[in-house]
Amino acid sequence: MGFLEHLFAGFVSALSGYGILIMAAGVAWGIVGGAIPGISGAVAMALALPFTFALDAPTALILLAGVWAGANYGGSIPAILMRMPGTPASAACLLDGYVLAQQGRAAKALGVSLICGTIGALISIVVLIALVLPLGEIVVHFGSPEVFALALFGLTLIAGLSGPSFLKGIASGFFGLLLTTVGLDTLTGSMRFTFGSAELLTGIDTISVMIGLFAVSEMFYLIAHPARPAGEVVAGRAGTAFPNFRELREVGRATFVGTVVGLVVGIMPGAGATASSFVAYNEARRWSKRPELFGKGSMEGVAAPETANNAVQGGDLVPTLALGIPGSNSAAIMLAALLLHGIMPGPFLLTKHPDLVFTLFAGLILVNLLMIPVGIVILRLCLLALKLDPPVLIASVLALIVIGTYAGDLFVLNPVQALIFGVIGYGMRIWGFSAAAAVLGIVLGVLAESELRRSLIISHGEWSIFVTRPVCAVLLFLTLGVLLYPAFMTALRRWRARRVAAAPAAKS
Amino acid sequence: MSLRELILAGFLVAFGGVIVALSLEIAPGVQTDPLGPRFFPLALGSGIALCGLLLAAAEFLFRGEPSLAGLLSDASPEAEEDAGPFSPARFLGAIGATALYVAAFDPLGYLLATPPYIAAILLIHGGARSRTLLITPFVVTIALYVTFRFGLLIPVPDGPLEAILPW
Amino acid sequence: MKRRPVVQTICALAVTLAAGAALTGPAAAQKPRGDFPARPITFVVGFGAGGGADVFARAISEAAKTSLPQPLAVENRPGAGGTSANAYVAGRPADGHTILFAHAGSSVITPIITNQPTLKWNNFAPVARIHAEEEWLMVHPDSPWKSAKDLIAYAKKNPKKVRVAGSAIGGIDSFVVLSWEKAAGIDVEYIPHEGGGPAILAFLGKNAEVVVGNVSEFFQHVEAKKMVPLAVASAKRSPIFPNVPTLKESGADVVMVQWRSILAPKDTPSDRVAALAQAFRKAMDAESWKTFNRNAKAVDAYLGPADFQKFLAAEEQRFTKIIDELGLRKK
Repeated sequence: MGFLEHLFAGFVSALSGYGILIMAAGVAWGIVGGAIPGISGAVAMALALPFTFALDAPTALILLAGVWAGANYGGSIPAILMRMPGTPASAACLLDGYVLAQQGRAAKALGVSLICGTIGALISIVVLIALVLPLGEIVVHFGSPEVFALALFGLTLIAGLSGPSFLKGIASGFFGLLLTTVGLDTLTGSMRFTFGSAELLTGIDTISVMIGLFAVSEMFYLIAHPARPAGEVVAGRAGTAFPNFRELREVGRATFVGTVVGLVVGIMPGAGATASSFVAYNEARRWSKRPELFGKGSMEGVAAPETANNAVQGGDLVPTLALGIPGSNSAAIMLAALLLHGIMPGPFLLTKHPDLVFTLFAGLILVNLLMIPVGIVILRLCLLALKLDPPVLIASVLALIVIGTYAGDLFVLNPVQALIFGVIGYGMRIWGFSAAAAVLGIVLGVLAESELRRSLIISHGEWSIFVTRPVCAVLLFLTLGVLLYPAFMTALRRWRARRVAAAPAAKS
Repeated sequence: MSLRELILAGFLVAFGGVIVALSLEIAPGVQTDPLGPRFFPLALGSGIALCGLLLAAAEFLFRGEPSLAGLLSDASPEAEEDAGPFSPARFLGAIGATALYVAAFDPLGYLLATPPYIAAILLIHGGARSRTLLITPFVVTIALYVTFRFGLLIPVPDGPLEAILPW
Repeated sequence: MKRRPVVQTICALAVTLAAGAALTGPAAAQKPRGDFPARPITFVVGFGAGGGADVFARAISEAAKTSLPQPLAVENRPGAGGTSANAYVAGRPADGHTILFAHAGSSVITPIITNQPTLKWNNFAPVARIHAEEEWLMVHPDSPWKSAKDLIAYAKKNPKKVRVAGSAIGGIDSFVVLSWEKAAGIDVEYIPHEGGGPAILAFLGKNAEVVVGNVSEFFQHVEAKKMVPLAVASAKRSPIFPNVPTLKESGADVVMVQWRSILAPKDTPSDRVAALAQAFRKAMDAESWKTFNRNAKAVDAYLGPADFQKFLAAEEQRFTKIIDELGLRKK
């Protein structure tokens, strides 16, 4: 059977029986799970795993695909409405999303997140379907040095997140990076900053700390500064208007950037949706016609990260399907479902079980299409929540945060971390530091450190490995360029201005 | 010259210093890698301390030049929106209530610990009508419990109620 | 003015959530108290969903549906090399309704390395050892070394040149390599990764000459001609690749397997422990388990509570010796 025939058969298989219902249920579950702070896409998929036993393998896969797709969007709902990232991958979109909500444009922001995210996902899946095997060959060339270079590139965003004080922003970023060193070090088995406590061995819980820094601090802020009239405290006039075509076109460039970033970062092993969302935010700002809006309510600041974190779906599945090595935790759960159905994932999955793989391909496309109707319904329900009295909303959000952060790992220390970092986040806010820069450090810190050290082990201690490997060298060069470019341009401008000022003086 | 900024700078230096001190206790290069587990924390601690020093320097040197001051240190700390006056009572109350709630979460279980917490937050925030005060804690608690326990199948701690509850 | 909508909204949301949850949540079968098991048994796994430990737990749980009247519910509590879960289970009521996943890394090695004796296997009641997977060393098809002996000879002349990719330090992969170094008198560069998958990727990308790990993760790559088996760390040759010698035969006495097992809180009554052990024994006869084992290329290696306890004591002795020789113990 030819490629297209396989694909057609895949669609038929996915749509057969209760297929549509199952996929829609998966998407709904995923959106709700993703929206709950503390429950990431992978956790939502793991919670759905027991249900897959009763299903056959292809149906199990499309159910999980639905949950995955849903969770990628779901996380942005609380992020935009309440400054609370539902999943780590949605942290970047709150930078502008919450500001937009405060300006009364929550529904538009959520609509942009949904539609652009779906576009990004669909494009990345089409790329996956078309190029899975050749991409599978390429993925092994992305090793530790390349991932380190990518992490470094992403960290240049700190400058953009610093706000008025550059030094404080850097310090914040360093703080975030530092937090990732707490716990058991997998490269040597040594314990860092654990002070003899078994609990601290696991290190910080990323999502709980993020929620603390962003959402708990915001809730504490709202409680501690009670000046505003009740009705306007949170996203008062959310509006129910959806983005129209003109508005969607305005974010077209950002969506494109987000898709490209998502595709590239998704293929890189180790770097996932969260890293890609921040890199996309950074790049969208760099290439935007209105960069000064970022951080003050730019729709592009929502479109880019949300597109990117959806677009990693395709990239994650490349090593998963081509090599049997999961590209992310979410992909690992899909492989687990296969294993539990007696199917061995590996390089032969495509040739031994083509019907299964093509049903998955079809399923991926279908669930992302289903995202739009299901997403809109859930979105409207969530917008209703904004009509609650502010004290009720704030109390409910705090209660939700506690149980949500507990739920992911079933670890009571998670809500504790959310609380502690809520206080820290509040302090950072009133003293001019940047919680966003700290979060960026947390997100990229693990990657940066472990891949740096691993690269040096691979190269037997030679630092030259970073420039002898082509992809890595290119990324590092770009990073350097990005850092030096603004300084260079400022210097150039000053030099030109001085020349212009000197010229008439010279003539006279 | 802002005393507040200087204190913050000093805090950064102190914090960075502590980190550096702690990092020196971590093994340098154990077994496998040349940088070792010590490098990153050491570098970051030094970096934070350095930021503190530079901030203090900026406070001393650039206070006469607003543009440069804006570059290096926070020129207008009150850049916040129309925020109301800070109320330490409410702030500490919120933190305290949350801390108590999290501490009681496991031993008391979710169903017992949550309603008082929600009521506490409603009271601290203020502005809730008495009927809301009575109903909301229970409705929210039950809604969340049902969603997590039965919808998502997450084992929420039941505390002493574990023996009584039929599920 | 806002009274009605607030209360109504909350009630509406609550009812919707409750209805939805009731429709999707499972119905709990009611059994009289005093029976064991009286309710679903929680199977705590110290690793994330989708990983080897998790898949094992889910597979055996599925198979146990044929032998236990109550289902097993897998709970993932990842962290600190699996010891987070150990800490949690140690605090659970010892009534047989909570059990813990354990392998050498999470129950012996990591607690010793991190100096957490309360999280070691002997603070729990051993229930059963279930199965074991071989640990293999693999090289590239174009590798200059045709046997482990070749590799050892080369490594002796070129210390720290050979790079071996494997999973995190403290896990069994790392120990296979570290003890192999000691036994063969060589010095190689071990490159730890976050798991078997990333290690394989690094190997495939030619960032390492050798890769070590579970055979289940390697098998298909061998079939795809991307890997060639070098040696197995077992007592006898493997039925999977019978022409490949063991590490012992190649001059380095290293015997380590990735065994997976189940523990329970320390004071669980012994009759309940025995009942669980028997149930797992019976589960291992289930069709679904046999298929899973076949795919995973694992071998059933059942040991009941008493024998398993002796085995664990022996494992602890073995690993403690290696840990001390390598100087890995902290503080």
